[in-house]
Amino acid sequence: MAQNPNLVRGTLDLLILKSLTWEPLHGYAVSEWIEKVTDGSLLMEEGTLYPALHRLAEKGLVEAEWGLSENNRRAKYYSLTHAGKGYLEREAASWAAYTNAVAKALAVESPIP
Amino acid sequence: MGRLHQRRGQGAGRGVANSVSNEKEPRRRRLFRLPFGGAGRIQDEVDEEIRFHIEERAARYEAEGMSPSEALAEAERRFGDVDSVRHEVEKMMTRRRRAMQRSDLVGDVKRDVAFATRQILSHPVFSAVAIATIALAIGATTAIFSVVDGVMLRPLPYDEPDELVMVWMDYTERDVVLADKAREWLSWPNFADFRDEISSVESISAFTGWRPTLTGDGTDAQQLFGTQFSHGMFAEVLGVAPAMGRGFLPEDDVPDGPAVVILSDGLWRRAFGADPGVVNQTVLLSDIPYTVIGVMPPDFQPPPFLGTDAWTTLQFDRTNGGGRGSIFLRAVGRMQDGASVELVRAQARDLGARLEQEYPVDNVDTNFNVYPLHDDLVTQASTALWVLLGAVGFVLLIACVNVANLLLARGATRSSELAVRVAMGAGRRRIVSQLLTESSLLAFVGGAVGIGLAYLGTDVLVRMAPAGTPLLDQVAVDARILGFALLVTAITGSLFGVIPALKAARTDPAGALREGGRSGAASGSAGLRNTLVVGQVGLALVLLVGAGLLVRSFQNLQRVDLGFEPEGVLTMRVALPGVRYDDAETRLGFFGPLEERVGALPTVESVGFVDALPLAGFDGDASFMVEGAPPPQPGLEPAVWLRRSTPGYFEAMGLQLLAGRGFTSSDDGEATRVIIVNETLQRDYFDGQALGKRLNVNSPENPVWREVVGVVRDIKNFGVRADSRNAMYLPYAQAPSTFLFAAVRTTGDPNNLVNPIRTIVSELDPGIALSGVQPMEELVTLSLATDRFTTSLLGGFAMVAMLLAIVGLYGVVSYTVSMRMREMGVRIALGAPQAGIRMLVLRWALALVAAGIGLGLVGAVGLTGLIEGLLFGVPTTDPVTFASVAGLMVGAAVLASLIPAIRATRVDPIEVLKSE
Repeated sequence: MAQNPNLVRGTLDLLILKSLTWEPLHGYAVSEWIEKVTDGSLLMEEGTLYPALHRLAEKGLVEAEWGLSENNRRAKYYSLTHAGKGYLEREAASWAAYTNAVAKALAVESPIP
Repeated sequence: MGRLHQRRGQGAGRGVANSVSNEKEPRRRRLFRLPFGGAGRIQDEVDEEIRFHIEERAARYEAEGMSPSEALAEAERRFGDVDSVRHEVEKMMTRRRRAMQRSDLVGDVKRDVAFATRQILSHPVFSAVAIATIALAIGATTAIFSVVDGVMLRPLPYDEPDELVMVWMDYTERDVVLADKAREWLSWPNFADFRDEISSVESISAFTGWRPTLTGDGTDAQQLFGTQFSHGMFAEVLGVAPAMGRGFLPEDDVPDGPAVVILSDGLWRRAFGADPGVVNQTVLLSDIPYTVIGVMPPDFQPPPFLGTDAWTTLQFDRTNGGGRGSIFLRAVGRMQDGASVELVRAQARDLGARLEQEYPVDNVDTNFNVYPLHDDLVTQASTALWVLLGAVGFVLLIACVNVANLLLARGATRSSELAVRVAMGAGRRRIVSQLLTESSLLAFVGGAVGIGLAYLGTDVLVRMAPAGTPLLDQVAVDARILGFALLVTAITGSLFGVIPALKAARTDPAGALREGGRSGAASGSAGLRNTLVVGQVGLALVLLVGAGLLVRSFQNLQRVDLGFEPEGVLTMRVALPGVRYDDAETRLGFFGPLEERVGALPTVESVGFVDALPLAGFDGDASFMVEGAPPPQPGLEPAVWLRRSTPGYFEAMGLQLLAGRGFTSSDDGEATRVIIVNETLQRDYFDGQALGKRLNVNSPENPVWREVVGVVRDIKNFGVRADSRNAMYLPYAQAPSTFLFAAVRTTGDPNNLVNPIRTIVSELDPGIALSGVQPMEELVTLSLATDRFTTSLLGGFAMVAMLLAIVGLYGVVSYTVSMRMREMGVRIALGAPQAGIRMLVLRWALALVAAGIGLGLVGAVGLTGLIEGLLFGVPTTDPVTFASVAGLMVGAAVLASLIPAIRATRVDPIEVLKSE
């Protein structure tokens, strides 16, 4: 279960939820999306995605349904639930506030501004 | 239907397969929620998901130029630890699925109940009929059961009631005039021998009825009902103790012991205003001063034979209890721990045989009989009650069948709905549980209403029950009865619910849907419903036969010639306190003026007195011998029902004199001893010519010869059912006793005489109480009370059963006609006459009924033996009853099928054929 040590706990969940914002995706598509938007820098082992997806399903933030993939294979599709949307909005906002604050702090150059 | 797509079921997997092959549009597809499955399917799912990921990734690498094996290896490397991911995901899914299954079960039940409630509410007529049927049947069953339970199943309200036994003398070998020869009373010496020698009986008490008159300052004299008993009745035998004061002590029960009395709680409240100071006070009972030593607790329920008001001691020992032939005691005992009734009986029979040898005159052909007290008390009531319980069970069964048939009929019309649900993937189990929920809901609503009815019904039954029914105060609708009702409800619900549900679950969706909702699936369920109707008719017929036999028997009882004319006669018991009325002169001095003054009241035609009324039951017998006939073997003198009467009695009771004369006022203590005999005695002992002959009553050693001066008709002295036996009448003036029953014949309403007679009695002596004031007709009615109770209840049940069966038949016939509308239309179109169509339907209905009747008649022949003991003058296989009941059933069936038959002829062929 080795993960990129830089991946702060809870970040993967947030990324998964974000990836599902536009349409239901299967697990592979989610991994591709994350790889693309983060330049492959965050998700080291793709397998860790699945326990995370199922944890989110258990919490009721995503829903799993069987469907057909682009090349007509059976695949499990995940979609955001109503609760998942709300959760994503709240978490994204607090993430932004957090990173802002950290960035501000790191940008300080004099001992006491 | 809108709710159906939400249903998850095993069938959903099939739906996925279909959509997988049909769905073309990528990504925008109808998605199905995850189906349930076992653990195996979870593994498959997880495998599939992981494999999909790795293969998609490998495909991408391949597209980027890697070789297939390199691509796969790289994809697997990127994925990480496959096994650990799979394991973790499987664990999570299993956990989640279990939770879902649990909540789904709860959800299913909720949905089923909600759906069933909607179904019930949206078919109000159907539901009302079903619920009413169930409620009536459960109500009636529960009410009857509560009486059976109270009278027969509950233990007696005493300590270890199974140890209590009743001891009697067995006179079945003897020719005596007794109501029940197996239950004859005991003499004191026989009782004392039993008490002293039967080791398996720990304690035993003999008792005899005691009816003292309570007189007090300023209040009306009251007739009390109690007993005198030998020591041990309360503390040792019944295990009860007074709430106030003390119980009886051995020194209270000795010859010439103290006059002490224990009062019942009821009497204490009624007559003494619940004054706690009554203990140790003196009260006057029949003018004898008694010291009150105790008051029993309010929850003491004395057995019926102990009376209800007051109890005192017998005060006998071996010196003063009368001879061995003088039988006037009954006895109740408590067996030793672990002793059985059989053991007691065996010991008692041995003792009886020995006593017969020792006392060949008094004890010849007699022995002891021992019965458990509870059996002894309920023996009269038990057959009737069990029969009623069985009958009401039949009604319940018929009601179940009716509701089952209703559900089957509706199941058939709902078959297209069910078929759609099966096609949509509803599992068989879900359909069955849905339908069972519906029938259980019907059963429980019906059961709840039924329990309400049972409360009322039990009350009515207890009030209706014949006066002599023992232990009625134990009858109550309580938790025990509610438990019974609940059980019956559950059984009922499953009885009428299971068959229709299973039937419906076997629905073949394709077939049902092809018939276009024209309610197919009819043929199979029609066969089942026909079978049910046949069974129903059969059950109803058995009940009708039973009721018919009882009705005919009751008619016979009412037609019995009683030998006297009860109409317009008022009767009452007048008891004189023996202390003040201690000789013939004083007694005659009271009854003479009483007779004269009552006779002078307006509307009174005649007045007479006798020491026991007809039908009132056994009241002692006597032996006699005819002058000049060979003397009978000592101890085996013929027995006779001996009465004393005043001259006016025969006229007042309408007892017809066949020969000779009645008594006159000159037949007094000074005159020649005279006697009047009945026809039976004249026929059997005087060759039909008794006038002028002489006979002696009792004491064969010192005969007092009495001349027969008259012969009267036989009367039913032991009740309507019993044969008339030997009877004799002595002039009261030649053998005056302390109490007599008055018979007053009036041209008006007998009840109007009650107050004037009371006034006369209290003017003559304010210390004398009247009791048992009632018209003679009422006494006749009472003597048939048990028969009336059983007959009317069984009759009622049988009518309800027939009604239910006929309704069931009507339902099936009219349903079948509506199913065969098309056939009828075709027949009519082809020119079939209306009469022919009608006959077709009738013939078909009657075939069902005939099968039911056949079944019922066979059942009835087998079962009517159970009520043989209740019948009078009707054989259990009475052909008249069987034939008329079958006829009644056929008639009712024809009426019930006529309506659908006529409807069948009204079918418009064009309409029917067009609707196809």
